[in-house]
Amino acid sequence: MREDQIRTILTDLNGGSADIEASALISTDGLIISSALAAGMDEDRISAMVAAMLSLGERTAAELSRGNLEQVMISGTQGHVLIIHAGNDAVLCTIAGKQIKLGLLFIDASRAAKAATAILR
Amino acid sequence: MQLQSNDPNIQTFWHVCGLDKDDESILWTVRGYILPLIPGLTDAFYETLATDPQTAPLIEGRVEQLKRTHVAWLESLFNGGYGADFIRRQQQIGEVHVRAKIPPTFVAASMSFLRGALPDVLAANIADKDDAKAAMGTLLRLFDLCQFLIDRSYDGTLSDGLMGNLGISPALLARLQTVGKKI
Ligand code: HEM
Repeated sequence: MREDQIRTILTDLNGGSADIEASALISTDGLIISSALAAGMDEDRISAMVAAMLSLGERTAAELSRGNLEQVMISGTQGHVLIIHAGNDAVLCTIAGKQIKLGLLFIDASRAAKAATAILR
Repeated sequence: MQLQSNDPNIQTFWHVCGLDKDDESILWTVRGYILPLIPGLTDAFYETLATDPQTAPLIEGRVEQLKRTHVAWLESLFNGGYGADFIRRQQQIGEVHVRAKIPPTFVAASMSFLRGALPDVLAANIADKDDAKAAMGTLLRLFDLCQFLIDRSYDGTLSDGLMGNLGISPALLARLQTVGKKI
């Protein structure tokens, strides 16, 4: 039931924009909670890496007195990866193409993270 | 040998590697043959460290003192009493090497040197063949135990220090260490 709800949040997020290619909800320990990833993406590896990136981001923000971490954004020539908290124990990772409007990505991902947090609580 | 540790990993190590009462008595039986050979073995060990470009600078200027500590450590393996104090001592040796910035691979290489030297040393110096064989098994287990305990000091630095600095929790570290390893 809870899994279905989270899965729906992720598919809605992916469906909200043609430029959102995949998304996953991951525990802060690096385990997949639910994912809507593209074929060929290694769920196991991605989940551990994403959780590690979030931890690094958190520590860096604290070290540089930037307050609580809001997001980690990775941008490559082919697109972006946005990592944000979904409550204290989970992380939402959204993978988007280069053409996406960043404002839209932030809004959609935040909304999905909020919805997932409510379900996980 | 009586294990005195509440650490479940040490308990499992002890159980699986099979250290038992007989190990202590066999070392006691052969110690008279082996103790006189330890300084020579130690000299050979430090000569090897002195010829490697990476280990030589780490021991330069203090070889004599290091030889003494090494002789004392090897002798301690034959003294009996492998309980809590013995375990604590190996962990302390690990901490000293971490502070001295000796990479764990060099300690592993040194243990390997000692393991490799054992068969000839024991066969040539212990009259009873069965005693020599039994002592060999016991010493190999003890070297492994010591190396495991020394290595744990490096793990400690990794998870408590480096990983702590990066904000990576022990659970996430365990995930990162095993990720992508398919059964
Ligand atoms: C079989 C592997 C080894 C064993 C059993 C061993 C044993 C010891 C012992 C018992 C001590 C004294 C610890 C104390 O002060 O409480 C020590 C210190 C030291 N060892 Fe080793 N050692 C090993 C390998 C090495 C290697 C490979 C190197 C360098 C290439 C090395 C370099 C040192 C140094 C520099 C110290 C002194 C540290 C200090 O006092 O600042 N050891 N070792």
